[in-house]
Amino acid sequence: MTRRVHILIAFALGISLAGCGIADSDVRDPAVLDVPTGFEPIPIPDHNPLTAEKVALGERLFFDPHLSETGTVSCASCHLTEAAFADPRPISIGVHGRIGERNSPSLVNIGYINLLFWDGGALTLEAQALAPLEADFEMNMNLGDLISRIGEDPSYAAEFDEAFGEGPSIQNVTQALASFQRTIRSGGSRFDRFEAGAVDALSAAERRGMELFNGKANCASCHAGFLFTNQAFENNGVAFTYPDSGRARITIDPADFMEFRVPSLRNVEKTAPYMHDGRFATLEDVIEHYDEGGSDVRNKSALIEPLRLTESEKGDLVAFLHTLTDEVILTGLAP
Amino acid sequence: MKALRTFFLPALIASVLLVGCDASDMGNEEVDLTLRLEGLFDGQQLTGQVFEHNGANITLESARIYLSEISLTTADGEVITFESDAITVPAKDANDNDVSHTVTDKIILAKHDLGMEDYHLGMVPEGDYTSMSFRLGIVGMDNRIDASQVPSNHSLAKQTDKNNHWNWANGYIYLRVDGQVDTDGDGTVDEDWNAHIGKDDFSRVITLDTNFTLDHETGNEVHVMVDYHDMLHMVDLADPAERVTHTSNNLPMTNKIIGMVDSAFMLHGVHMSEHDHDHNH
Repeated sequence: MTRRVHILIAFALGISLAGCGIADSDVRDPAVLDVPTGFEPIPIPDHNPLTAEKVALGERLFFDPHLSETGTVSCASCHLTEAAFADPRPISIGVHGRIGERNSPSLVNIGYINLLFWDGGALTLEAQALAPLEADFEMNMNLGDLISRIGEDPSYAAEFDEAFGEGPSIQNVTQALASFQRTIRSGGSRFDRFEAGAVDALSAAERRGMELFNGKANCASCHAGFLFTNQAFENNGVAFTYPDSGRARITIDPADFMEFRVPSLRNVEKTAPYMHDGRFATLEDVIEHYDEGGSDVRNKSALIEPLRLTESEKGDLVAFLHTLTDEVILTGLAP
Repeated sequence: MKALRTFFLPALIASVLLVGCDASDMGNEEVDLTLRLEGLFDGQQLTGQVFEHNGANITLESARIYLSEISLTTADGEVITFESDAITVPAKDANDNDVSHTVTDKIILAKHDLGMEDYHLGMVPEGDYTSMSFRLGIVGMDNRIDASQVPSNHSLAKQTDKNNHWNWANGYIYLRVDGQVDTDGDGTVDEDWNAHIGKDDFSRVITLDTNFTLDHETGNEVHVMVDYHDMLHMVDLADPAERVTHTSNNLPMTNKIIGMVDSAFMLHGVHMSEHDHDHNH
């Protein structure tokens, strides 16, 4: 049942996963999701227990372009497996070539994230699934048409029946998509192996970069914990270039102006370009932004101030960020 | 029969006792109350025609509202509220923690672009009433539920025809009007306009202070008219700055509309219900 997404070197590096208990093929038996060593359990909501059937159905839906108006755009169109389920384009492009508003963030370890989207507007993975389906610049799909289209496919009907004991509905489409996304997980980077005791997993430069990350560069103030994000919303001093007020769009609170969710840095090497609007093409650009203390913008976080890193230190920091790359990202349930 | 809750205002109870009221207007009988919500634009049928609005031709393609916290006040000062079949759904609390939330309030989604609808509210005492009140909007925890997980027969369920909930911004769109407007004065509507309003802050409680009687002779159906023209009275839809609001992206337009909603509702009268409808649970 496990789908392995191979990035760069397939199976080149082992990953350390905790022992797993996997559901058998019984319909709607709750499954246990294995997580990388050192990770907390992925929260599974009571109303949507994880089952092998739902995960498999969700995976099919995730990669199916027929969920869009034109039959050309799937969830995976903007969350590319080879980009750690992010989008290499600065701004994602939907049906009819319509350009969206933001860069699509990585979905790796998304099951841990409390509030979804760059502005935290979606409360749950289930609710989130509907937004790209309906947005006219993404999949532009009328939900009634979506349910009809899926229902007309006998193979889908069988899979829905197997997973839910009924035909497709908004409720179970979103539950299946959320179930699959909760299985997108990664924690087998060189950094993880270093943390587990393999002291030679990081080079000297990478270790210096790690010290900078946790110290002088102050990255860990926000990019904290095993996810490398504290899940807070911050204004990191990027210049305001178009009408996107960030978190304030949701809260209607000026104090949240231009705040965006702190992204996880796992696999950050693979998730370029960076920031909510994909304005920075490289990690070097990002570090330059923070080294300068960001732009002089309203509501900028007090954490953003000039770092005065040397060129060597910047190189070490980039080297450390590369150690967060996982060569194998797991999806689905373990065999 | 839907559950019915009654609340007595202590002060009014005391005053009734003090004066030894012997003329209670409330009988022992009950009537099965229906709410008729009729949507209009400038007193006319909403869809299928072109209206002149602030000097520009416009059309309406959708006109939808959510009403919650519906109550009646009797001549004795008793406030009667209404409940629906309870649903328990996932939600986030004020601190963004995952919780389960049970919705019990009688919440109506009126789709006026589809015509006039009647809504079953529940049993109420026969007698004289002085007002009807409701909230235009949904607030609090009821507005922080995961709409995708609401059973499809509930008014809070994600609708499949026109969006009633912002999946990307948590919350119900409790006032939705869409249409087209003639922007160049050639008489042909050619540009989309829309107002999608939500968020707790913009919700309004509307009280219709009108005396009416509910009994088996006068009627069991309260007829309320909502004129969308009145809501849009201050908005120049031909002006690009006042053509689109999704609430927070155009606060001036949002505030203009919300500032006028009080005047858009009118209690037209009481009739005998023609049929049993229950569009919204």
